[in-house]
Amino acid sequence: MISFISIYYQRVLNMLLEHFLLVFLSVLISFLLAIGISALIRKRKKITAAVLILFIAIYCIPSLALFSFLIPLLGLGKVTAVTALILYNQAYLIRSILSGFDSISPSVREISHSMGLGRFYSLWYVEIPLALPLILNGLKVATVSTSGIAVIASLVDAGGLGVLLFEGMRTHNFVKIVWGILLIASFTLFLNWILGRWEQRASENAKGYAKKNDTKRR
Amino acid sequence: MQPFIEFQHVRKQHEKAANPIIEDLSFTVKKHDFVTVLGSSGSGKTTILKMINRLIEPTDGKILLDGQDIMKAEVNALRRRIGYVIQQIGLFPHLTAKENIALLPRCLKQNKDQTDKRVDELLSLVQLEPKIFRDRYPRQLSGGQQQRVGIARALINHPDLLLFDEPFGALDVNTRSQLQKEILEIHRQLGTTVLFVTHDLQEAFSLGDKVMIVEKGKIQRYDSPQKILLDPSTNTVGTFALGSTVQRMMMLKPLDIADSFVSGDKGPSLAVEGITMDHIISIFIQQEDVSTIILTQDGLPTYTIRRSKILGGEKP
Repeated sequence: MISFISIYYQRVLNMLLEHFLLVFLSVLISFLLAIGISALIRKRKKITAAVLILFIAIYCIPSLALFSFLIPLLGLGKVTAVTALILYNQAYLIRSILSGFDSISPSVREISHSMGLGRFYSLWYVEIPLALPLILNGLKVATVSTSGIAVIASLVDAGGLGVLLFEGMRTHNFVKIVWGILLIASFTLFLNWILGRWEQRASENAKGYAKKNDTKRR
Repeated sequence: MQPFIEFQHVRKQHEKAANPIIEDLSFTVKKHDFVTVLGSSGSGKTTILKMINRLIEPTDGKILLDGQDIMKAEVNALRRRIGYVIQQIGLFPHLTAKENIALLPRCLKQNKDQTDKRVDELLSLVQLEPKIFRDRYPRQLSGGQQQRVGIARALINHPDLLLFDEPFGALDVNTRSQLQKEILEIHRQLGTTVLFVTHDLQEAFSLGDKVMIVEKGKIQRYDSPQKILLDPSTNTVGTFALGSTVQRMMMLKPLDIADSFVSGDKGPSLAVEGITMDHIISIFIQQEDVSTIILTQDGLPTYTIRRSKILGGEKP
């Protein structure tokens, strides 16, 4: 076990980095796209419902099927993988962004409008901080699921930790399989932990627990 | 004098609704007046209020604020000169009392030290000790304290108009009457024009310089509390029951129904300060032979209150 990693650590490190970049890039683009789509559809209920159904339908397509559907269009490689991962993420991200903003109490919204802060400041100081916990929860789940599906993306030549796992499976190399599983699982759990902490902070902030000024009253 | 607020034939109807919420509404409010808008739920009273800061926009008609058509003003500039307080308070839960109050100056990039000073002034004005309450979050405040912060927040930008939408509706009786007193005191100190929506008869008549009774989107009566309550023909306004003569008198202040003292008036004397209508009415009810109460100021008889005014001419 140990000798394997001491020989191949350079290659494994590259795979890990590749995996990270794949996940990071997919999640970043997905998130920006989801924000744009949410902003566009937010005020229109019927369109919102239609868009969500569309992305949920896409989410239901098995990843191998979606990859093989995209290969004729985009070829093998990272572009196909990232495109598929972005498509998968939309359902969860859009829903969490919308429910984040919907969770703001109508009276808070009404007051922030009535103060004449303007659209930008009202979003920046009031609505985004209050919507953030739910949005980050969506981001966390999307990231974890992206990290999982990215493993399968190695089958379309996208690289990443999946390469290690599938190599091991093809060559019946037990040590490789175990290392693959260990690295994928611990990397994904790490992402889950980091984003979970961020979500926790945002949630404390939104509820007014940000400053520790009230040890007595708590 | 030019009216401060003027509604000109304002109508509001939702696209799909059969009846308008507000029907051809015209009225004026003088600068510095405290006007209470009294109506039951669904009467359109809140709509009237929200049309002034353009949270709702009228279907027809014109609303002038200080002589200017509000639809022609920049909406945020308009809203910044109007303080708005609602029943649900709507404090921002992620901001401390100070941050809640100072959010607008922060967005307008105003001087921080001056803002901090103003926040402390406002907290004191609403009877919250700045040192204790400045850094508290809304969840650490009682309902009454939250509403005080809400009022301070509405006052931050030196508004020339304050809109209250049933601000004390969710508070317990003691807190409510305390805050009612304070809001009158704040109005007296600052002279800000106030429009105060309520469904509570007592609240409307005890706070307002003028009371506007609204029903089904129309004004039923718009007058001073004295004129409405002392008019024997108005036991009801629209479907609003104002109660018996005694009940109506209870909503007035003693001086509202006092006549000036004429030598020859006889009866028990009470000091002007500290007397309440309850006190006066209980004397008339318990002592049937008393027909006049003399109010004294600095020991001198100044006003008289006659039994006939309160008990509706049962005795001369």
